[in-house]
Amino acid sequence: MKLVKVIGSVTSTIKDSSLNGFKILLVQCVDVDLSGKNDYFVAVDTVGVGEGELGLIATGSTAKRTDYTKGKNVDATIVARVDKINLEQ
Amino acid sequence: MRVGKVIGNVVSTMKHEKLRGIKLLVVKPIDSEGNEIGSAKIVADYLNSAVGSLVFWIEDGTTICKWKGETGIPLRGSITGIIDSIDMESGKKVIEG
Repeated sequence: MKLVKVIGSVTSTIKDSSLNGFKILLVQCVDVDLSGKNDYFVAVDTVGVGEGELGLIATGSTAKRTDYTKGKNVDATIVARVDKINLEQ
Repeated sequence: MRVGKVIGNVVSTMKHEKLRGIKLLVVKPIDSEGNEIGSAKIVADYLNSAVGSLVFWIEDGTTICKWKGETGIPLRGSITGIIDSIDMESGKKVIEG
């Protein structure tokens, strides 16, 4: 899984029919110190993450393992909202 | 899925027979400012995307197989959405497709 920050919401009229009804977000991968990486994903939201919030995405075939995305054409799904990360110094 | 711009198309006469009838486009990933990043990729397109469109694509091989109703197509990556706009959180900037 990858730690990401939600940075935008995607509007798409013409898309694969299996994506209809999904909230599609633009997310940026971040390091544990929350600095942004040059790595972006378009991910389907299944937990209700707001813009600017942190989340975890499952990528690849794992993205199809939630009830919402089973059998859908997705390869990046937001599966958790991150409240806090505790790091041992 | 990855986000980027369609920057060209691929013409190929000699190819695997299962690739026949599949439109191939060249896409380049972009960052949150709209700048092109990383290396270009060749992906399938069944949504009739045009060169210059902002799109997102899936990096798997099963999507195109499902669309064609075949198995074992030697291809990874298909455009699954044409982006109208992206509403950005930072400064409410909007990237238009």
